[in-house]
Formats: sequence, C-alpha cells, structure tokens
Amino acid sequence: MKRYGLSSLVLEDLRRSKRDFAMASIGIIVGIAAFVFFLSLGLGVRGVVLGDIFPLDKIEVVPRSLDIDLGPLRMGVGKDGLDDAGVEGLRDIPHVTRAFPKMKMTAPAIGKGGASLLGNDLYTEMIADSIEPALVEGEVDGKIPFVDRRDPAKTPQACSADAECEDLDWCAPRNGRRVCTPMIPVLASPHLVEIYNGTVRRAHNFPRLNPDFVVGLTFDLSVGRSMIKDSARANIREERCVLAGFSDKAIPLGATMPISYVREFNAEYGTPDDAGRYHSVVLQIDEKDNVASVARAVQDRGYDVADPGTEQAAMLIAIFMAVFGLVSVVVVAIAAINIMHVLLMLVSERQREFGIMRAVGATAGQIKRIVVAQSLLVGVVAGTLGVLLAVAMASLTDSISARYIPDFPYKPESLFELDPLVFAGAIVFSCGFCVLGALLPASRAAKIDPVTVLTSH
Amino acid sequence: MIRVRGLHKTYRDETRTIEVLSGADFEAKAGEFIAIRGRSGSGKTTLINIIGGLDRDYVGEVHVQDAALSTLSDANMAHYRSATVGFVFQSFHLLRHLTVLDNVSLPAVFARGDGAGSPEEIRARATLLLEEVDLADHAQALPSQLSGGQKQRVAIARALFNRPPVLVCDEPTGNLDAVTAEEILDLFARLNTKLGTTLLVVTHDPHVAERATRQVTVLDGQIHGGHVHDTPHDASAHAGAAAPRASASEVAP
Repeated sequence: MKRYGLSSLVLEDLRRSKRDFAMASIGIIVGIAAFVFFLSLGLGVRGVVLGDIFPLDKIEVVPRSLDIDLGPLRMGVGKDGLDDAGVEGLRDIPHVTRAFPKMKMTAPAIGKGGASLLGNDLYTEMIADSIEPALVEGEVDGKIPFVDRRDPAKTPQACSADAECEDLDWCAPRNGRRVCTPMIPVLASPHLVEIYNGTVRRAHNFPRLNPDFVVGLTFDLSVGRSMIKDSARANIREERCVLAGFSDKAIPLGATMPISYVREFNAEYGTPDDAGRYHSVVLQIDEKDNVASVARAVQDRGYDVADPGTEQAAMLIAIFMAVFGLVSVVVVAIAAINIMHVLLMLVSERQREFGIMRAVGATAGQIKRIVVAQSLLVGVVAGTLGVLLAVAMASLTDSISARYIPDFPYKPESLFELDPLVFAGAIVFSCGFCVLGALLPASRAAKIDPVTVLTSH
Repeated sequence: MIRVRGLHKTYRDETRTIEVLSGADFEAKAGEFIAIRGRSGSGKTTLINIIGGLDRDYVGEVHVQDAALSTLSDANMAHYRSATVGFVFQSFHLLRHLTVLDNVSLPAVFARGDGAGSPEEIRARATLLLEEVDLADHAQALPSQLSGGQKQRVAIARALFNRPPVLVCDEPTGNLDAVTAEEILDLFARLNTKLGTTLLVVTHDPHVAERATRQVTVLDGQIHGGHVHDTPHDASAHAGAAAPRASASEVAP
C-alpha cells in the first residue's frame, strides 16, 4: 500500500478479486452503453426532427378558416389571409423575435425545364410561394444567393445570347428587345427530392437526384400563362429561375421565391389586394419554452397555428427513448443484483479479514465504507467503459450510415447527440445502482462479530 | 489500570446454556505481566475478549484506564481497540494479501481523526517495529513466506503499532515450537520491562506462565488470583489444576 487509508484497502481488495468484479461489471458496461447509445440516438433524432423538420422555436400562423362541405364542393369560410397590420400585430406578441410573412403566388404560371437532367423538358403548372430571404439566412450555402438581385437604378444591358450576360443573369425578352436580367433564385423542399427519388424516378427510369448536384439547375417560367387559361390582365412575362438550394421553409410541392417577386407577380396578374395578402406568417420565438404561450396569444388574436405533426413526432421520439431507456435501466439493475451477489460472496469469504480489521480498530462504518467503495469504484469504471463503448458504437453506426445508407431529406451528419451531461449522468446512474447493490453486503460486513470469526466461540 | 467486577458471560446453543463467567472479579496494575490459565472452555479467552473490547455481550463492570467499556459507542470502542489495547492471536490473523509492512501498519488505516501520521511517518514506525521484532529484512514479504514464529512477531508488531498500554494475547505460543516460543516470550519480557506494557497472556503452557509476574486461573466461572493483593500461593494452588508443573515459587515476581 503506497497510501494508508481505506482507499488503499479498497484497491487491494479489487485487485485481488478483479476477475469476479470484471465478470460482474459486464452487465453494467452493456447496460450503460445501451442507455447512452439509445439516449444519444433519441436526442440526435429529436434534434433533427424538432430542430430542422419541425423547428420548435418557430411556429407558422395561418388565418382561421372553417370548411363547409357541400357535396362535391368544399367552401372555405373565414379570413383568406393576413395583411401587413395582421403581421405587425403578431410581431408584437411577447417572446416573438421576428415575423416572416409567406405569400403564395396567385398569378398563373407554367414552368418548363429539366432537359439537361432528364433528356426532355418537363412542363408543369407552377405552384409557388415566397418568403422573406432573412427566414433562410445561413441555411443555403450562398453560392447562389437567395435574394432579389434586381437593381432598378441600373440600366439593363442589351444582349442577344445568355453568354453575354453576367453569371446568374440571362438574356430575357423585355418589351420587344432582349436584356440581361437576373434569374429568380428559388428554393425547393427536401421532400420534393424524396418524392422524385422514391416515385417519379422509378416510374420513368430517370437518374437518382442528389440535392447537392441539382443546385444551380435552371428552368423557365412563363408568368401569366396557364394550361387551363392564360391570364387576361397582362402580357405573358418570361422569367428564368435558378435553384438556390433546399430548405424546409420552402413549399412542399413547388418553388419558393423571394417575396418581392411574388408580390410583383400577384399585383401584375391579380387584384391589388393580392399583393398585400399573406397566406401565413412564420414567427420566431426567443425560447422553445415560450412556444405554448405564443401559440395561445396567436389563437386569442383569431388565427390558427399550423400543425405540422410536431407533437406526434415528439411523442414518438419520447416513447422510443422511454422504451429503450427502460430496457437499459433493467439491464443495469440486473447487473447491480449481480454485483450484490459477488459482494455477498466476497463478504462471506472475507469474514475473518473484516474481523481482523475490527480487532485493530475499524468501526462498523469504516467496514461498510470499504464494501460500498469497492462497488462504487466498479460503478465508475464500468460506467466509464459503458460510455466509451456507446461512443464507439455511435461512431460505428454513423460510419455505416454515411457509407451505406443513401442520402435522404434531413439526413444529419451524425444520428447521435453526444452530450457530456448524458455521459456524466450515465456514470452517476451506474454508481447509484452499484451503491444500491452494495448496501446489503456492506451491512452484513459491518455486522460481522470479530469474536465469532477470530476465536473458536 | 484494569478492573473487572461481577462479570457474567453466558453462551447458548440449541440445547443448553453455559455460564462460563459467573460474577468474576479481576484487576491488573499497569506494567503487570499476567498469565491467565485454566482448562479449555473455562472462559480465559472470553475474559480477554471482553477486556479487549471484542466481546460486548456480557453483564458486569469492566473498566480499563477509567473507561467503562459497556458505555462506549461503536466508534469509541473501535478507538479503544485501536489505541488502548493490542491483540495477539494464536492463529496470528495476518491479512494474507498484504505485505509484512502493510500488515504492521494496518491499524493506521483505521486511525481516528488525523490518523497515525503521514504515509512516511507510518512507514517509518512500522519499519521500526519490525526492527524491534527482528523482521526488518522481511518487510516486503507476504505472510505465506514466513515461519510461524515470524508471523507471530509480525502480529505482535501490528498489535504494538499504536503504542497501546495493554497487550492481550490468546495462546501466543500455542502454534510455535519450543525455541520460537522462547523467542516470543523474550520479546514479551522486553516489552514489559522496557515499555511498561501491561500483558495479559492466555496460556496452557506452564513455561509461559513461569515468565509472567502473576498468574491467575479461571475456574468454575471465577477468576482465582484475580486481585492484586492475592498471594502467589493462592493463585498457583488453583492454577495447579490445569498445569501441575507450575509452582508459586517459580512464577513469583
């Protein structure tokens, strides 16, 4: 013994019985590893689901409406949108830090493009909405900025071909001539890629799309034109759109533009009201804990909160974490019972030693502490090994996921959220169970009668 | 120093109750070397277990250095066993997995308060005690590497670690050959004369009893010769029942 304290005796005893304790520790290591692994996985998935797919620090406010079923027709009753005053009112709600109105494009439009990717151009009735570029600030990588780059003060440059224009401009027909014009940056929803890869691609044997490689794709937009009926209010306006990136803030089926474009199209092809009416407003909230109070304030003002399924998703994740957490707790508890059996066996084998210790001055409390400390040390070591095993398993899982699981919307770099607090909690948890398992053996050791074990009586 | 009054001790098994001590009295002055004799099962070991604070299940008064043992808490009794009394057992009772040095310093592990000093001080004290018992060369040996006599000397060094004024020994030479037993008795004599340690030695061996300054005999639940003013003749007369070779003149101080 280098030091003369209880710790030295504890270490000596552990060293002597390392095989017994190693066997007993396996359950603790596996249980703690499972606990940390599944908790970290649950936290990681929850981070993606509630952070990216259903951001909990943002809620989307929509006008309250009541649908009346009239046989084949369904008629909406209620407000049709929000105006600037309504947006201001929402912005004034306590805990709301920013409000981002979203506006649907009411002007008819046809999109055409895709030949470079699919071999033939696709034609589609264009569904589009628009958002404030600030809403996706930092989300798209910036190679193609999601902003309205038009400068009214700049004299348009005449051109005869796209090659004569700057990058991200095209040679657009305007009032009987052609001038270099900025393309409209658009965002698409990751869901769109998933739908394409999952169904359209298979039906037509098209190539699989990787979101990273389709950024920069262009398509033409004929505003005012429709497969059903062209607009009678103005001339057809030709635009070219460029895909700036993917965002969960984008419309699920269609394209999302900077709001200034849609406001202009709606005014040009619809009624004056269309240019000032928003179909929803995204409210950014200072803290996730204040979401409920903001939602109540929104409803008090006569609006609804769009339910994207956050609650159900959060519930599913909570159930997942609870089930696997419970399994881990059971594993650790069984392991703690195993530790208890090992300690009971050792206490029984070492009665004479405890009797000697009592004879040379050990108190009952000191004997108890020796046994509990042995178990505590096993808890610390096994808990730490369990955490390390969980981290290794998480790393391996991430590696397999990156290599073998194809990209999907919202696929994170890591499926796990490895939180030092979880690690510390798991080690404390391991120690707690080990100490619980040691209480009975420690009590028995403390009650050993030195007379009985050291003398013939 | 030690005063025992009206000591009763009963053992019970499934079929009967045996009273080994029935109102026994005993006293010892500081610095005495007392041999406790008697037949097997007479209560000798019981007496020193009670005086040594190992056995608390008795009726009667036991005072050691003015401390009433029956009133001590578990912690105070542990401190008493650590600081006031040292035990030497017939079977040595060393911890097999600890070295000789660590066995000797074991009481320091459980020392109260600031403990027995720094690790260096503890090591130095244990080494000094091993030198006293002539085992300094075996400090790093394990008990399994020692002879019976060497083990007993380690046990004595351990018992002396906290400089207790009282040393209780239960058949300390019972497992030793005659030469080794003589060495142990020489050691006891040195401790008794040099340090003034009070020695209570349970023995069947008349030769051990001869080295004591006083003999007492446990017989029929009583301690004969248990009082300081008892004559050596009285004590030896009773002792003779268990050890005919011992005589009053041989064991008188």
